[in-house]
Order: sequence, then structure tokens, then C-alpha cells
Amino acid sequence: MATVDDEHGLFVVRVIYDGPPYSGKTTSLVSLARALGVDVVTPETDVDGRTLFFDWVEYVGGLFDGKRIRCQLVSVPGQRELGERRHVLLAEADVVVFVADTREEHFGVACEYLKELVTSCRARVPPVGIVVQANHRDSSSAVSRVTLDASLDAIAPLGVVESVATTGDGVRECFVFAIRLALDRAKAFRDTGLESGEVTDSPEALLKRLNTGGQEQVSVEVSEPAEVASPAKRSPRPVLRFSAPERAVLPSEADIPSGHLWPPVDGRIWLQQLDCMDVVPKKNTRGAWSAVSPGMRLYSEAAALYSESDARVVLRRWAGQHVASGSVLSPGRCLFLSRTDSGRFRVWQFVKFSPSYRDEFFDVRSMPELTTRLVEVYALLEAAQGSFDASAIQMPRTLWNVGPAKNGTPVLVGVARMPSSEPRPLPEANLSREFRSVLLQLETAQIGELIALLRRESGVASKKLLDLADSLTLND
Amino acid sequence: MASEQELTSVLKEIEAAASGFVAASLVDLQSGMTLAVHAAPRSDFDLTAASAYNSELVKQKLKIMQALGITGAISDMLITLTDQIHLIKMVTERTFLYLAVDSSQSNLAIVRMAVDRHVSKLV
Repeated sequence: MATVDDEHGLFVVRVIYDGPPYSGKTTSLVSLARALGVDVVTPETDVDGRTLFFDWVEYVGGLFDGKRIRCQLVSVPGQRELGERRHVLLAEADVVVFVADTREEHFGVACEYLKELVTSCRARVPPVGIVVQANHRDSSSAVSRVTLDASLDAIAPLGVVESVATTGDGVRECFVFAIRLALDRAKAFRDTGLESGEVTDSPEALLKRLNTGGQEQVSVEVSEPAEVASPAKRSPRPVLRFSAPERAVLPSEADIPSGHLWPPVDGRIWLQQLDCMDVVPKKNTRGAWSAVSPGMRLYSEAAALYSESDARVVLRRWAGQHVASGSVLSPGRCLFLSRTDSGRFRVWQFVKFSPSYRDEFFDVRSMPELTTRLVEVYALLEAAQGSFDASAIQMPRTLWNVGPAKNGTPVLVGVARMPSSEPRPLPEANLSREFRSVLLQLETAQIGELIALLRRESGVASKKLLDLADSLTLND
Repeated sequence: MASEQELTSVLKEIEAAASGFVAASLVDLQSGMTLAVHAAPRSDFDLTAASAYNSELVKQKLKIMQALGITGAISDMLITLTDQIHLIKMVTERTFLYLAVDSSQSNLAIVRMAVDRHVSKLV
């Protein structure tokens, strides 16, 4: 964990190189050490030269909080039977470089390893960032970039750098990316008042620790989060006759300080993707700002403009609601602040696209398929009402705002309302009204077919949909 | 991004174009870490430290611009010392080129020309 070496005035971060056996962890460190002009320390290897404990590289460079950064780069042993040593090393990571063998015959194993790593890194407080070093890219059997991105996207939003560890291509770039993530985590530590314990400071001390098999308890004191106060009540301002119109200028990810972004690690990666798109938010007639780009939406309410301190309070409160409602929210959400020309800060919401049930219904090709899906979704939504109502997230429960999670359960996929000291009541979630609007899109003959199909079904949901469809024909 | 070898190769081209070359690096703005480095033979210039501290310089300049409400971007920063010229040229929003030359063998025009000719290859 990030610490300060007061004696030498250095800030110390630990970068762990993880990955399956033979993925190129040691080769990466050797190449990197050569490029950085430093040595590699490997306490012990087996007869085949495989790492038994770790490889250690130390390098001083960069700057954080006015201090030079002492980077401790440690690779783990890849063999399954040395898993305990791997876990001890990973427990002290500020960031992990996951070296993946992207040759087709090994890529599946790499993905399985990575899934497990993502789970454990996300469980840490604050979460530990991961950057994927996609290795062996010079091999003729390396998976394509499209396959690589799709497979990794399915696991988690992760930064990826392609590499050929034997020549050093991509290794240094990946290392620098990792340091950025490590510094983000260090800032999160600093800002939330968490204290880190002592960590082993040299290859000798680390080897001794692994040899004894004992686990020094690294104590982490978690201070209670400060009470989130309501934003200061704004006194009425005089009308400014000649105020300049606000421009919505999105900050570059690199310019967003910690405390202005949630979640700190994943959020930064999504906003880096946003940086690559030409996204220009537009203001609607109600004063809200929004932008839509392939795969994502940006939104900021008209009233989401505060002083910096108030904006940070709102961000923290809203982030807390997101965390508490995680099981009923679609993934791929982040909140961030942007500074406006007036010096105030706007609160933004970034939502990765997830299909809604309403989107699904448009894609269905046949009436039997639509009927089945309508019945399923009706039943799922009836069962999920309680969870949605209990959630702190304010979002109208329409079929446009609810969709299937990967495991099939309903989740909220739309844009959430900001927390407010005076929450506006939501329109009552009304399943009949929502499904009625879907059925109204059907032609008369299709409704007839739907009714015939529903009469063959049994179940509460089918009966309710049948009553709804019947009511439409009576109204004709 | 170009590979480290390609980046180092570009820095060597800049060396060839800039008389009095001392050292050059491509630097990550956020962390101050170097993505590629090249120094003249027998140079004792601590390029790693210089790159890191210059990243702070760029960040401070960006803060000043923000405080003053200046909406443009930094193109480059030129610092003239008694015996050296240092040029910081923004390559992308996240990276910059740092170049140091001996001012007795070079001048501002040569430095700028050498950099402008090659900087696009550093992306």
C-alpha cells in the first residue's frame, strides 16, 4: 500500500505484475528494468528458471505531492501451487499489471484468471486498479484486437496496452499507465482519511516474510465517513442582466482531480474513452445538459450547478446512493464535476448504454416470441417492485428505464435524478400503464393474435396482460 | 501510441536536428514518468528528475490559466537559461516532449524547428 518514505522524501507505490504461468511477467520486468537502467532481483528460481518467490525491480521517477515516486515492481510466481505467495503479494498492491498471454490457445485461461483478480481487487478499499498488458502480440496465433477488447469488456472496464515483452514493446507504456492508476488510489487514500499500514520495504524483507509464511497483519484504520451535510442553502441572487451564457465544457479525464470523480478508478477509464469521442453536450429548453454517443449517455440537470465544496458534497451523497443501490442499477456509471466559466461546478452523470425492455420489445420478430417475452418481463417487474421502491436512486420506473441485467434480473438502466434535500415524488410505477403503451404500438390484427396466444398461457402475468389486451379491443 | 523503440528513434532524430542537444524525453503529464528518454553521450543530465519536475511546471501553468479563465491550451513553454535552452512541447493533452540544448551551440529557432519537424511522430 502507498506509503511515504520520510527518510528519503519519497512516495512509495507497489506495482504487482500478475498473470497466469508463462504469460511474460518476468520477461516484462526484465525488459522494463533494462529500459529504466535498473536491476532485477530474483531471490530464487526453479531448474527451468521459473520464479519461485518474486522478481523485484525498484525505480525512482515521476512526482506526487511534491515527492519523487519510488516504484516497487514485483512479479508474482505464476504456478498454481504457489498461490499463497501470490495472494500475499497481491494484498500489498497499489495497482496490478495483469500480463495476459493473448495467444488463442492461452487466452481463455488468462480471462479466467483476470475475472478472479478483478473480483478481489474491487473488494479492496479503495479498489485496486488493474491495467491489462496484452502480451505476445507478435504471435501469429494472437487473438485480434476486436476479440481482445470484446472479451475484456465482458469482464470489466479495463485499460489495455498491447505488448511484446521480449522486445519491450508496450511494456514501459503499460508501466506508466499503471503508475497513474496507483496515484489515483493514493489520492483516494489521502482524501478519505484511510491510513495504510507498514509494508515490506526491500526484496530481502519480502523474501523473509514469504519464507516464514507468516502474515503480518497490515492494519487499515477505516475512519467513519464525514457526515454528508446538505448543500448550503442558497440565498436568492439578484438577477444578472448581462451574465454570459454557460458553456458545457467537459474536462479531460487527466484534468479531473480526485474528489471530483466517482468511482475513482473505473470512472477514470470510462472518461478516458469519452476523451476519444467528440462529445459536445447540448442544453435543452429546460436547462438540462445532455449528450449521446455510441454506447453512452451524459446528463446534467439544470440545477446541478454549485460551488466546488457543495458540488463535492452532492457528488459524495449521490455516489453513496449508487453504491447502496448497486444491485438494482445497470453497471457502467460514473459521476464527475466540471468547472464552468463562472467558477462554479456542474455535476455530471455518465451512463453506459444498457438495453431497456422497451428496446427489446422492438427487436422481437414474431408474435409468439413477443408474447412470451411480455409475460416474462411483466412477472419479473412485478417481483422487482419491492427492490426498486427500496432503492435510494430516484428514477422513473418506465419500460424505457428498466432493462435486463446479464443474469436476467431487472435493473434500472436510465439516467438517475440527483439527490435533493426535497426529493420530488416520482410518477407512480404503473405496470399496466407501461405495458398498455407497448400494446398500443401493435396493429389490431397483432392484438388479436396476442390475445389468442395469451389465452393459452396460465399464470398471473398472462392474465393481467390478457385483461389489458382485451381492454384495448373493447375500446376500439 | 508508438512503441518505445520508435519513440526513442524520434528523439534521436531530434538530436540530429538540434545542435547542442543535451537530452530529451517524452513525459506523462499526470505522473511525471518518462515514456522514452535519450541523452547525449557523456551527458550527466538527470533526465528522470528534470522530466518529473517539469511535469509540475506544466501543471502549475495549467492551474494559472484556469485561475485566469484562459481557455486556450498550452502549445509550448520555452525557458532560456544562461547556458541552456529548455523547451516543453505539448504532444497530446497527456504527454509532452522535454528538450534541453546547449545554448552556445544552438538558438531558439533551431530548437523550435527541430521539434516541430518530428513531434507528430511521438503520438
